Amino acid sequence: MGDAESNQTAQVDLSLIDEALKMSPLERLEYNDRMVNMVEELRAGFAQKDHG
Amino acid sequence: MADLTTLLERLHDAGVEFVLVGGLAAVSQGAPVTTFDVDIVHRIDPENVSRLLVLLDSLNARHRGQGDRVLRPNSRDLSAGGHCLLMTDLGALDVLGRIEGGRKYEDLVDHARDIQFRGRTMKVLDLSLLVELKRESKQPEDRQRLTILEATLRRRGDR
Repeated sequence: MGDAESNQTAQVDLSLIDEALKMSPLERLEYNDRMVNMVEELRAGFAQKDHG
Repeated sequence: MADLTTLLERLHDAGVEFVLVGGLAAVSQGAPVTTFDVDIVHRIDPENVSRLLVLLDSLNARHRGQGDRVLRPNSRDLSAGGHCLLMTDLGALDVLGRIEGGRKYEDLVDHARDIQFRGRTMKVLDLSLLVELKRESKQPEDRQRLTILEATLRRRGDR
């Protein structure tokens, strides 16, 4: 592996990729949905706090 | 509440011919990213556009970024080869006639993998071409994501 590639890989958490690769496509899609909804909830929470 | 997986299911069940591209295509192939919309490239022919429109109507689809104005997609929008950025009751859906390099459905379908989900088979643009497209892109967000996609592709190849 060259230096440039080694540096790029260092920026990415490979353990997250390994966890994702263990899942089925459906599990990955459903995980994304849960993440999206969690982020939306957090955003709504921050918006409420900002207006509160 | 977003339910992008069900949105994909509905597209499939409506008989719409499409290739899943973009962030969700990357997610489905193991990239640890989160994406807020479904991006599809649909086959532009009258019957497919008609099936897509029936589905979009049932999902209360409207163009995004119109403020209080509700603007519904129509067959002209979906046949023109441009990008229709829509909001539906199940989440955001980008219906793309062509993507980077002017590629349309017919150019992408041979580079698609079949993935199985909920008893269905769906065409998803292969991660290696997704990486190539991101390399061509000048969007800063695409450049950022490229590193993760390249690492996922390498990691997948190592197995």
